[in-house]
Amino acid sequence: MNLGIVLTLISVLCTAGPLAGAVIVYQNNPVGLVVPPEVNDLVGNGFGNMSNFGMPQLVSAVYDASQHTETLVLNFTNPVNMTFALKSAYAEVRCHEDQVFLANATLTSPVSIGPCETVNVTVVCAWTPQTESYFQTAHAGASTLNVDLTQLTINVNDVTVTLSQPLEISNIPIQV
Amino acid sequence: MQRAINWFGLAAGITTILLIAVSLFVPWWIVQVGNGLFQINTSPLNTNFSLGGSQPFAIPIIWALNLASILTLAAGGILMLAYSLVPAKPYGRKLLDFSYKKPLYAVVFFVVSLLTLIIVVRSAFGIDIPIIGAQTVQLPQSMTFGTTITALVTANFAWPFWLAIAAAGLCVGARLFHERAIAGKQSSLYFPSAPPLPPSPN
Repeated sequence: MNLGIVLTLISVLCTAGPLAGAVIVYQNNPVGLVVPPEVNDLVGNGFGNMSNFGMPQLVSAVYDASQHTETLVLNFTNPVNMTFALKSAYAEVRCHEDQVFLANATLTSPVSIGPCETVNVTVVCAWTPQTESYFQTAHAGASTLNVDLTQLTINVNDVTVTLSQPLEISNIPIQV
Repeated sequence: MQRAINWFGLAAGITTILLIAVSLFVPWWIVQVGNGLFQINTSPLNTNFSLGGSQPFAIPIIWALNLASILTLAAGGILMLAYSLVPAKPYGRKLLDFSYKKPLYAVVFFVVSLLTLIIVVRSAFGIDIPIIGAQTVQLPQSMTFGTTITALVTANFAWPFWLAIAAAGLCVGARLFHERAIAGKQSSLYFPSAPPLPPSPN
């Protein structure tokens, strides 16, 4: 047989063979050719629906009068089957009622959140003298306050996410 | 009579086979989003994706294209080796013409595919993926429901990519020096042996 024909046949078989094989294997599931089961699992487990990433819930809030700090413990559930490393978090704390700036809130230490795991995340707000005088004038006699965390920015695995909507937290103790 | 060998072809064949072996394990181009949040390892011979450090997974149609590349390059490498040992045979030129283009096509196809992918992603989604180096990328807010998401994207070529370029260069070299090889001159021209000693004066 002519060598040229043999070489052409090799070319055609090497190129078309695997593609034809894949098409035959996936003939009953053509979508599977471009969307592997791993991607389907991810979509089914949370990435397909952003609402599965629920907002953090307040677990506790403790006011330290000597340090003038408020320590908030929030719990967060990771809905997907992968580990996140929460490296940093930052937010502006504002009074929910009149949006007066009260303090910056920062994450105390990085947190690793395993697949489908719920963890407590601790953030600290340092009240300034202006903040405390605001409590005494605008919220005199109140022992708690509703606040908004605005510009909430988190760094997860070096991906930075800034929420467009404020996160409201109710009944923060403000004994001054 | 000295046997004609195309040394460039021999080196090209060996390099091509070596390239296939290493490319199964080491990608040519690696792009990472965030710190291991999402990673693409790609080459014409093996492409896989990894999310959050999970087990890498492949897309079946890309896997089939990769397998086609493996078979094509393997055929090219083997036939280049066969040719390099018998360049003066009547079928030598056909073996050479079949095999020398394969690594070159693989490199060109790979680079063109990367550039096309980057241009398409930039045009369609406004996301600027670097081809080499690190860049902070912000996802369009239309994709993120108003939330601002920025990620550090790093991309780099790994050493098998440069090996592929070397293999393609050696293949082109084999083609260029085919005529010298069949004339049996290549050995003395490019791999010189020691010059003959001058006659002794006595």
